[in-house]
Amino acid sequence: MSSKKSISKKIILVGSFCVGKTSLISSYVYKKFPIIYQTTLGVRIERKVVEIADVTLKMIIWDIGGEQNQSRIPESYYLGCDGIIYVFDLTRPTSFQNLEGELAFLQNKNPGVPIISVGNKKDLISEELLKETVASISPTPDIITSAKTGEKVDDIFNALALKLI
Amino acid sequence: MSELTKYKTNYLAKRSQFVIFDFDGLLLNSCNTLIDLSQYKSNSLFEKFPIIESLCAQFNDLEVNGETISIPRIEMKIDEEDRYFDYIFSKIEVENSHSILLIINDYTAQYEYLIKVQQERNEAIVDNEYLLIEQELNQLDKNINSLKIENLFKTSAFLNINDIIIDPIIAVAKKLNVLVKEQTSPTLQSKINSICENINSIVNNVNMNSIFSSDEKLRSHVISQRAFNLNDALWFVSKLFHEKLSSNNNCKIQFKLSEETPKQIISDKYHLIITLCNLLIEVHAVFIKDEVEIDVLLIDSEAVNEVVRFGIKRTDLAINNQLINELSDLSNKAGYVKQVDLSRVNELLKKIDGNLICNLQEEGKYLIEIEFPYELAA
Repeated sequence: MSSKKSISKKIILVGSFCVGKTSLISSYVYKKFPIIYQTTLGVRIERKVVEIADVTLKMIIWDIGGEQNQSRIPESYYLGCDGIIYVFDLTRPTSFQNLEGELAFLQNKNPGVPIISVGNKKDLISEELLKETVASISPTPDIITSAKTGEKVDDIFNALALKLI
Repeated sequence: MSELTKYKTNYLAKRSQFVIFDFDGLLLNSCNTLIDLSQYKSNSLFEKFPIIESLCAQFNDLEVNGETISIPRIEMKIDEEDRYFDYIFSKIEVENSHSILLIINDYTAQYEYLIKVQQERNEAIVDNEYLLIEQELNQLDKNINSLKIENLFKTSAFLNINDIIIDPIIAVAKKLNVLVKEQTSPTLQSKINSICENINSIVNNVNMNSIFSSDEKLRSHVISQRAFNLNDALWFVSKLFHEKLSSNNNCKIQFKLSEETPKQIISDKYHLIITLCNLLIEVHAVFIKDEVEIDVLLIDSEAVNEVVRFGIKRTDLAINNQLINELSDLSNKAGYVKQVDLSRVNELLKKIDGNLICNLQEEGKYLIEIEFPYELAA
């Protein structure tokens, strides 16, 4: 009898406010897109169990309230973090203009923890503008998504999951 | 118990829940003040409190009655209502074994106000950001319009320069070319050649910018019909091509004018030069070597305007078949003909109501013709 190895990992979603972190989680966990924007004050925690290869991965997803500067996030939110998803809004340059600095801060705060950068709200811009926008972002985002259409949402978590098992 | 302690205990009891669980997340004991955990007794709390599962490893590092882990502003849905709690985890000793005590403090009333303020603040910031982007776009539009006006002015200025200065200089250069051939004195020949070089340099420098100007600039050019000598214009195109375009190879351009071709015509000389130069620029890469003969023919037309047709015959000119099929719609396309892209030439011709014709003569051999309208000068 073969039993799958079961592991539990803490994933945090960070980034500026109103970039779609909660929507991405809702799209991934519940396959629903919240129509109305509702700010996250502190942290919401969701749980999603996935089977990857021979591993049962329990993802504890921390949806952390958006801050323009990640240093404002309470230290305790980072405790025991295994993976980070940094989300920004492709239509708002302020949400990615300091991407390099923010990623460096997060990496410094969580040494060795994998980070995936995600450009969200792809559905709101044209293909042409998307190309221009992505080309102007440094470092190049890992995944471009739309929480609204669900495009590439699963890819974010799958990519991170593969790094965690 | 004093009255004060009694009130205090009652107050806190309404807003706090105490939960004790082991290091595997199994519930040992709890009150149910905020969240009903009665059904979890001796069961795992991981599903109800995923936070406990994600912090399990950290609990081991805690000291009994020592440092605590405090997680503020946790949002939870209890009976479909949003609630906001602060969690405090600490290690305690119960019946000689270590357990974790979780104190849940309910701050829903306080945080609801903060949420409202934060929501309004965030929406205002985002609205402001979009407003700034819109203002920047408007400013960019204004700048583009200013540049268009500036380009239009420059193009008009160039036309004036062309008429006032360049045409007479070209005439002088042509006479000097004749003179230098007739001259037998080497010293004088050398001096005339030197003058010719300087004159050519002036003409070329003034014109080159316009010949190779941007699409935007070409589009902004206003068609201006004036009388000019067709021979002079073609001589200039030929000279420009030989000196600037084919200087590194042996490609030769020769305009062969039919006897009926009028010398003086009324059209846009600048536009004709630009169109022919652009045509030659595009086919130049294919020519590489050899001599290219361009027939210049007067075409009888029943239309009000006559046209002068420039036909480039090539036996080895590679043109994408798609070009032939889509020629009628060429102005809407650009860059799709890999070998020879005639879209810019076509666009220039359309602007003056001219035509680009590309005929398949025999297998793999094409004739490119451009028809440039004119009126006869008096």
